[in-house]
Amino acid sequence: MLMSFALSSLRSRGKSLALTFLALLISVSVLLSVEHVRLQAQESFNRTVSDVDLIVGAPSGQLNLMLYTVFRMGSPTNNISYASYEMLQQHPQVNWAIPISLGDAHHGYRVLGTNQQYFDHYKFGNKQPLVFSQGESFKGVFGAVLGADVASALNYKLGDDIVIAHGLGAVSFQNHDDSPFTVTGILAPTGTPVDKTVHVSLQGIEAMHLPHAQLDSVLELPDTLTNPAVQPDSVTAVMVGLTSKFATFTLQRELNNYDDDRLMAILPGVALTEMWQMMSSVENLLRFISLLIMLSSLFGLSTMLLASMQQREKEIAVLRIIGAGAGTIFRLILVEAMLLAGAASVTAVALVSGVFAVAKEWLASHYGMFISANLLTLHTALVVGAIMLATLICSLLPAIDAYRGAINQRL
Amino acid sequence: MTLPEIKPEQAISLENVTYQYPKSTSRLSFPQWQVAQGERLFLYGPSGSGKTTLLNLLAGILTPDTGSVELLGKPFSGLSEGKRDKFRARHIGVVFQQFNLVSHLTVAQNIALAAHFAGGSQPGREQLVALIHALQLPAEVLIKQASQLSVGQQQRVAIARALINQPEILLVDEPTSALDADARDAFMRLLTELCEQHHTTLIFVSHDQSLSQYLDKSVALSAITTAAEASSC
Repeated sequence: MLMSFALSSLRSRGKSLALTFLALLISVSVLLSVEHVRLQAQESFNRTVSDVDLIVGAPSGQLNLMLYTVFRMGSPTNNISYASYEMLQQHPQVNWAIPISLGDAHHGYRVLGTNQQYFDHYKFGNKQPLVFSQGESFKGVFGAVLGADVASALNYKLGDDIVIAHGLGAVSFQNHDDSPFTVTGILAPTGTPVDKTVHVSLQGIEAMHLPHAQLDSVLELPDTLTNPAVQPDSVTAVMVGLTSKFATFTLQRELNNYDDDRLMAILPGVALTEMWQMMSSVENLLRFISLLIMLSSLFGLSTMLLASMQQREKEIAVLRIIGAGAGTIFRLILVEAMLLAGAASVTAVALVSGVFAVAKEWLASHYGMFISANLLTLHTALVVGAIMLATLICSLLPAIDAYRGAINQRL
Repeated sequence: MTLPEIKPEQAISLENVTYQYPKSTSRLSFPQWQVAQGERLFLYGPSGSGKTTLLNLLAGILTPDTGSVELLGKPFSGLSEGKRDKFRARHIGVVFQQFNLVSHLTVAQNIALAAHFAGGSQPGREQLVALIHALQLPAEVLIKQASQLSVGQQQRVAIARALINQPEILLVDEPTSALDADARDAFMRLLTELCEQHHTTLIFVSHDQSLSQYLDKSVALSAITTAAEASSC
């Protein structure tokens, strides 16, 4: 009875109610979006690399090394020698080692030189391996494997010839026109920076930096990785998987003190956490702003209810005289506020889910943010629960007002 | 209507009741006042003489500072607030000057709400139609919103609302002040007829003495209060 009365009463106050509802809807939507993006960004961030125990590169900062090896952002500072890679590969505690050579781009997409180890051992998300949606990995010097986004954005098919530019810009004056690569494979989407990478062989990277005359001689020979003219002498970094996780710290110390080359080994998990902490101040700012928006619209709700008390004096007098206790009036105001906030929350969940379902592709392709449209999580439930609790607290004032008014009501 | 086994003689009994207005020095006192069951009483007095305060005390919205209000043989003013609310819902019907109905509910919902607070069963459609018919209103008004009715209709629906729980006592405060002469006459006839049928004790408060012709007995408010000032001072 209380419920249907509250509904009818809310309906009768159409305009101010609609505005309050909109204010609540917007603020709940903002709060939910911020929370959702925050969690999803963290998840998408943490799933970029998996199962790698150490990343080894030239000494710089661990964030820098992490950024260019895993996120393919920024520019590598220094290389390490190819001999160091071979040392790592043969190390008894190392299970596998993936060489990475960076520094070139194709239409703004990073070009990464590597070898077969990458396709065998690189994992993302929850230890998911890379899968070819078409073709296979490169066999010769001039093969290229494209990430899913590169292939779809530039509309490449298997067998297409692509030209790789020196440097990282989308437009380069120094195109390596003479070293055309052929697409041999396209990877399935991963939701990580791999989708935006062009993978070529280490030898391919060497070949495109050769002088013209030498390159011609390479091109004349059969396309094999053993060609002595294109053997790599350095790599940017190496991703390492160990035989036993217990060896991680021992090996890290050993590599940091390595005599034949200047090396730095980092733990990806630790670096990821450190990076995320840097972002957390922005994240906290966003949360703070959305909480303020929420708070202001709750005050709006409170004001709306308080203002309506004046016009509802008669209604409350009628309720009192037919035997409604002051407690009933108090509960009525709370029920009204809760109905309003509940309706706004449900609508906001639907709205935000809808927006993310539509914007999902665009966010992934433009910002590399992989946001799921599924908002029905425990966290959302907690946020909505907190909103309802805050609503309850904010509507206490008008409810107490109504209660007092009801007590002092005269006929 | 089910009457109690032993029917108390008095519907209303006030004993040494005083009420001090908050933030004011004026005080009302009712040393001794009884109304018999089934009596239909006209209570008149000028504005500001305390008529409405008396009705508030009788309805249990206000409680006396001293003395006791007994209704139907029960110590009404000594009950807790919640119990007074319950008692009011079951045994007392009230009709105000105006604004007796919740404007955003339909007539049927307004009446049902009163039944709800009395804790009784919800009125059936036949019962509602019969009641509405007795008040000479068309059955269609049941599904109309209260705000869509004319003031005269609203006041008649207010009687239906007040009578749905078959209260022993009906308190009415200037119900005709917003009605024209014809409507007033029809309203007064209906009210007294229904009270007679249900053997309801009626306290009718007004400053308009011409209405006293419709009721059994009329009393000036000053007659029950001034005596108090004399004896208490």
